[in-house]
Amino acid sequence: MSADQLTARMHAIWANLPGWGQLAAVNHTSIGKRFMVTGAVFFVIGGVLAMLLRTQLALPMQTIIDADAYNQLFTMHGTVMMFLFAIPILEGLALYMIPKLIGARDLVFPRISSLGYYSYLFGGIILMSSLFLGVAPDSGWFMYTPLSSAEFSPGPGSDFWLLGITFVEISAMAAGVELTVSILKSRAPGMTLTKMPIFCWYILAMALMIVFGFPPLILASILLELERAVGMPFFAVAGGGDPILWQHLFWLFGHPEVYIIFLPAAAVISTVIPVFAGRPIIGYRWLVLAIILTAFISFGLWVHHMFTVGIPQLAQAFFSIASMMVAIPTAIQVFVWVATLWHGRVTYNLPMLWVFGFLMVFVCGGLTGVMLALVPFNWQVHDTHFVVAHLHYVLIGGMLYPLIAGIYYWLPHFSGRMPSLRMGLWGFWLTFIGMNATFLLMHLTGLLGMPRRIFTYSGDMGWSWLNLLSSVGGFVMAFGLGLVILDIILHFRFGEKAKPNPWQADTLEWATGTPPTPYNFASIPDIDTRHPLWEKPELMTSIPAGEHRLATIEHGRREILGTSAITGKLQAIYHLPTNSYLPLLAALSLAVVCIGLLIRVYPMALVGLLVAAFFLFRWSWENGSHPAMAPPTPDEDPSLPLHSRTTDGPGRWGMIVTLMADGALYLALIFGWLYLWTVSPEWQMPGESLLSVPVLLVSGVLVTVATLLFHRLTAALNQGQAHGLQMKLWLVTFVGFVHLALLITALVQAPLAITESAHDAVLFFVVIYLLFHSLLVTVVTALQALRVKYGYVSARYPYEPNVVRPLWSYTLGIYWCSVATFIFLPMVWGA
Amino acid sequence: MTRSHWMVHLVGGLTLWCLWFVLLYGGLGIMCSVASPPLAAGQWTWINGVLLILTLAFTVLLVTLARWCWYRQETEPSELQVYVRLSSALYGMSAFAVLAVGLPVGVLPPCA
Amino acid sequence: MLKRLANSLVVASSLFLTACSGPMSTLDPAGPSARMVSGLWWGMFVVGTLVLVGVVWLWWHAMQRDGQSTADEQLQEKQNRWVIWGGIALPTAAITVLLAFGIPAGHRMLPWPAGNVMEVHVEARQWYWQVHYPEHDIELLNEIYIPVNTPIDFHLTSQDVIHSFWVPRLGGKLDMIPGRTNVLRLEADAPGTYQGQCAEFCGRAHAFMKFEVIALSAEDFAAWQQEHEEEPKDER
Ligand code: HEM
Ligand SMILES: [Cu+2]
Ligand SMILES: [Cu+2]
Repeated sequence: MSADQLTARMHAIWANLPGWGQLAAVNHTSIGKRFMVTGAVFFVIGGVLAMLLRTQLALPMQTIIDADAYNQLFTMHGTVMMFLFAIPILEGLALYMIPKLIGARDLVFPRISSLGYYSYLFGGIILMSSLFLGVAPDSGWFMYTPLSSAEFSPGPGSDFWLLGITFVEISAMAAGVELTVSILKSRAPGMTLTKMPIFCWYILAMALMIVFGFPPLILASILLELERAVGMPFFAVAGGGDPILWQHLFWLFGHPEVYIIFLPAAAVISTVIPVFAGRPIIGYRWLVLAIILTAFISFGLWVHHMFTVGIPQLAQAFFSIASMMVAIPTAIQVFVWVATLWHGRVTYNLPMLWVFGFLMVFVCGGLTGVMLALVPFNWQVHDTHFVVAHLHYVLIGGMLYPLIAGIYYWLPHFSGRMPSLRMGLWGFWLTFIGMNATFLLMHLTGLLGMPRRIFTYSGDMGWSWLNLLSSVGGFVMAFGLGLVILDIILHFRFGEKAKPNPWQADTLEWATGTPPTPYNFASIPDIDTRHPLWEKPELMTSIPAGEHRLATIEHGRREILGTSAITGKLQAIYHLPTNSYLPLLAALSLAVVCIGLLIRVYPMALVGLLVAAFFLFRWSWENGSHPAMAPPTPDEDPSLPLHSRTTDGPGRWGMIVTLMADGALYLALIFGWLYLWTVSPEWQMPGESLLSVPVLLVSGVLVTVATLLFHRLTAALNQGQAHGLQMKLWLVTFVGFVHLALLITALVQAPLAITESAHDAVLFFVVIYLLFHSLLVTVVTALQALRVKYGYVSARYPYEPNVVRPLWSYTLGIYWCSVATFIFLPMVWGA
Repeated sequence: MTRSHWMVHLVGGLTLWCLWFVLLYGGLGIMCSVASPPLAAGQWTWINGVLLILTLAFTVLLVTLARWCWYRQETEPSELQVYVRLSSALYGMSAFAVLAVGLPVGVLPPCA
Repeated sequence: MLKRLANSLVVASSLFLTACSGPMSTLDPAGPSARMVSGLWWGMFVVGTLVLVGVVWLWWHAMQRDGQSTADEQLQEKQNRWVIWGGIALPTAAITVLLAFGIPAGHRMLPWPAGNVMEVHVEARQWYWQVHYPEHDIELLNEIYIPVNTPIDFHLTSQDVIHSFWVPRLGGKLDMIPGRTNVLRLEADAPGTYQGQCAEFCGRAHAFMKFEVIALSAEDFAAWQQEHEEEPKDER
């Protein structure tokens, strides 16, 4: 087949559907772009809100905006900027870039990308609608209880926040899981972990941090929503709860989140600098070390947001020192960058200008960060405008500047055209000057005692001139950013056409075409260097010419290569799903659930949930050798099998990573339990177990039996023995259902006063959590039995039971762990 | 030695650091809620003692692991040496992090 | 000439000091805690500025120079040197110094037992402060009278949402949390009125949730106390 024919066939298989069919797109390039464009729109909205805030604060005792409106505005500004702009736009960049950097044609779970996007979009729209209805959340972006609880925020504002943000978080979790698995399992053959572009290390760390960092917030949001809607007193002192638990759970997420935002931004910096210094980065391994250090240590800092709640000073000191210690990996990175520039020859242009701006602003923010970590100093400036200044230095310097640098750098990749230098320069300088005018002075405003989140102040405090200058600076900055956005929009029409690989970069994304083809690589080369395009420039032509692997397309499947996690050895072909409306439909039904919960029409929420479950199960049905996925074809090569013909594949890894996230949520729950037990002022532990212990034990034995049976049947299947498979699966399903029934009995019989006692409320929540997992795994097993009947699972297709297997182990694990910590431990300890 | 084994070591040091951190902070909270010594007792209380022992034990453990990895370098195939060296460095840094963060145990009273 | 220089220095520094003063300025301390913190700030400010200027200068210089001449064999060693000195030694040293000052400062701010400590209870509500002197059975609203040069232990709690008690010129803030009581030790050096304001966002009137601490000399305080103790209860 000639190269042209190959290209045409590839297009036919990989392109999105035309017209409305775009809604069914699952391709990572499309989804990544959608994330970024949507994120930019939310940035503009968040920016407009910021300008309103600055207008109100410009002069003392102004009444342009009243307290109620101001509170909604700053809450929404913070929420929009963090949850709807910073995280999603960087996720979008990662989704767009990762397959192109590792030599893959798409991410391993394309439909999940699409589900993530729609969840983000709908969640964002639901949240924004509250602003237009005038009932936006108004307790600040970290929603401290009891201010955000039903008693002090009776309106729907907090519900919008809790439900909308949880919905949006589905997209973060989706991105976390699929980026992790894609980076580990679908790199070009030969690309070992240490041959990956450094960008991928950053994103791998970010993705894993999402996996472990977001669940505490998801848990906290669910608990708070339950408290508001049902009255379960998790955070209310009177019932034995504790408002400080919310702060712990929020910041357990909130601090890692800051690094979830910073790591991809640093990834851009580490990618752009070597290209414009004309030499490989100096200290790749130091960067890897710094990335791993950051990813871990940032989970040990969260209490530095809570230094004023009255925790013992010794405990504060632990967090203080840990917080200062993240300065070390950050400094390692800064000096790696300096060294690279030092030993290279720099080409000046727009991306480098933003990189330089990043350095100045970010280092300044980092230094004030170290100051804030010093406990006695923190007691003075916490919750003042000093903190507002600090957080904007790190967020704007450490996230927005690198993002803009990256956008300028990859513009030719997105559009095939070059940015314009003149307008870009104006944009940069106005932004840079405006940003420093706004926020540099604000440090002093804070030191002079201005608390944050006040809608006005009196003129005799000495804050007036500072605020006026900050407001002027804010408008200059807004103008600069407006120019940048305009420049980017205009360049799509007026930009000069880009040459292939216009910056002479070293990484593979520039071999996917400018703009890229939907399949990225017509053939997939073996990669054994960190700088493929510098060392083998011929790849630019040999890849599209189909001279490498996977250049056959007659089978009509979307295929990528599956490789081993560390060494990048070729293992299998991963076949990917094609365009599908199922993610859209599932997200729409989830939106119905969300709205139902918001307006408290619970039947509507229930119907939405059932419909969503239907679409999700339908989605899982169209897998493996199902005709819509990868029906058997005569030309399959047994030496390089399709993954659904093997016992391992991306789905299994995805399951495991998802369970890690689930486990993080469960750990957060146990933390909450132990926390309330030991610290909460009015906690009451009943003398004996409220759930029937014998029933729990029998139910536990049954789930153990079911898990063992499932493991045995999978092991046998992997040996090629599929005899009686369907019967065995039905048996497991049956045992699972009996286990479920017993657990439900135990719950129904228990005299739980869930609205009076935090203890009972937590216990109830745990049982529901267990029930959810047991139900899920049992239904999935039943579906497996059906799939055996249809021939999608058999000795030839042993893959899917291997995917389900970890879910059974997890269900078993949490069951006994819960019985031990929530039932036995209090019995033993209390006695 | 298998390959995935070295992945475990790559995150092992900091995972131990996290574990230690949880024990330190959680242990302090629990011990203070069980029996809180008066502020006047200063920093030389039994609680500080327990935390100090915990800290030193983890430091020793991490230093040992760092050394162990360091001496394994030559025996591993060349394509894995990167990970061995990184793991060793990470164990070392975790040991440093344990010691540094544990330092105030000798300075501050536990429960105020 | 020297005199002129000295004069302008005086003018400059007084200008500077007015810029730093203000009814709620942490840089205009009037008590031991606040003074320690403002000292910490000026130290950190100087060191921080030096680091910032140094790093930016290095970076700028690195961008200007053409360093491609370095041979690859030397690079490994050079890279380690950059990272070990700049990336590890520099922050470690800075942190050590910072903690050497910071931890003892925090240590001194603890409510240590002492002879002449006075106890004042403050309860916050949306959006006012109820002050109670347990030893004298005095109740006040939004104002707190204290004697100078006497360590005061403020026992802080809240009846509704979380608030935060903050008198910037005297010292750091501490949250007021329903269900718990936190103790904050403050002390005023000189008689005067010190403004306080709620520092934790607490709803609609958060911006106006203010109070005053009035520090009196020992005699004045005793007189004030007497006057108040004599006042019949139900008049308030
Ligand atoms: C366009 C320039 C921006 C301006 C002029 C601006 C202005 C402000 C102001 C005045 C506040 C304080 C409100 C108060 O405490 O009373 C604030 C808070 C905040 N901003 Fe911005 N901001 C800008 C951009 C950003 C960006 C890019 C981000 C994040 C990526 C961000 C994140 C936040 C957060 C998280 C808060 C805290 C909100 C809260 O207290 O709940 N801002 N901003
Ligand atoms: Cu933080
Ligand atoms: Cu307040």
